[in-house]
Amino acid sequence: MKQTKIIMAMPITLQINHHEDLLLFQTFKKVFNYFTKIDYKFSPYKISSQISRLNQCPNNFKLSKQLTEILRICHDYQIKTAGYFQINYNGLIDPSGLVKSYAINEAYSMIKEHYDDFYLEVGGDIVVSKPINSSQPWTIGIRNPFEFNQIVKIVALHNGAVATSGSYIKKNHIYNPFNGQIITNPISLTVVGQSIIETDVMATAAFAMGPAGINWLENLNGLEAYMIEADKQATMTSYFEEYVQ
Amino acid sequence: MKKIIISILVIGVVVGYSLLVRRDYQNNQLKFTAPKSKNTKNQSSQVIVHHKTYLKLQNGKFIGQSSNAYWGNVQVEAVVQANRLSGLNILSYPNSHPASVYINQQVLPILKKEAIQKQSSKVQIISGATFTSEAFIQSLASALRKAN
Repeated sequence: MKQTKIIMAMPITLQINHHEDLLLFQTFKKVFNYFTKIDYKFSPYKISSQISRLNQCPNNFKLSKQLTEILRICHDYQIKTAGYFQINYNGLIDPSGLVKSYAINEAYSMIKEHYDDFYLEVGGDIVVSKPINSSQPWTIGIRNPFEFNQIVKIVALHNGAVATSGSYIKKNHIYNPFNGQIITNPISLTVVGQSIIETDVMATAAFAMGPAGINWLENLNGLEAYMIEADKQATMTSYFEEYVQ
Repeated sequence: MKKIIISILVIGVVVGYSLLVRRDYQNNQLKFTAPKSKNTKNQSSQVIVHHKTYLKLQNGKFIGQSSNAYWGNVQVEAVVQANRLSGLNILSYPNSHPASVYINQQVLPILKKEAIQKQSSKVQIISGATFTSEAFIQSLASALRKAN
């Protein structure tokens, strides 16, 4: 069964390969409801969200357990990425960059509790699962940032996560936190790994480093990456090709 | 002894973190800023812990193991007074390099390059930069126009 809904202003697609029964329907409902709830709680665009209230009156705001955890993860990654992953913008806190992958990770656990043949895609970020004995991995295409209907690489993955950072859709939405400049190159950076939080955050951080980001990713264990630059040349990390179909 | 040090280090990190959140929260600035670049190595800074802890600890100073924080080592010293954790000294922190210097200092590997090429579109999932609702609606509208 496969369903797509638009939540958090993004299309969210869940496919679970299993015969249709009550639990399956409940799982779909639970997952989509979870994203709606997360959006309500943490969207900086919703005036009643915890993020909006925290920014409005940081002095008198009690952090929820969940928000504390999100901020803790942000803080850890800020250190791990040498400050390239940031949640501070113009004096406001916006952990949206993490909330999305945090929610995907939580949803993944919810589904994994009952199923092992599924994928979940939220705005281009993906988690997949296949049974251990399966001979058919999930096939994931990396979108051509210059030609929207094309894909330029196919990654085959049984279990893991894929995240892409890019400047081509959200109109250059990633900045270098150290000089405030908009990143205009690379155009697209895809990271493959085990955890969606790690792949997503590292893709964002490495993207903010500019073309040197791929060298940084090369030195990290458990992550492989594919970077596309403005000249339509792609650079990949040493073991990326092991994922390529 | 090693176990004690490790557990103190773990407690130290937890307490230190909660202190960080609490302090920032009190200061009305909950800031998660990048470590500032300073050229002083092994800079020691004292953090005072106003935190209740219920563990009975041995009094003294305990130096934790130097652990890798991806781009440098972090080492802390826990100070225990009256069987309580009373302070943390950060003995080393990876702040000796500005982040950009660090990034540039990485061993420059020779990575494989290729011109991007169109592939078969027979895939199950597509990864790309996040659609905003605006882009999504535009794309949907064009798809619908085609479908019409």
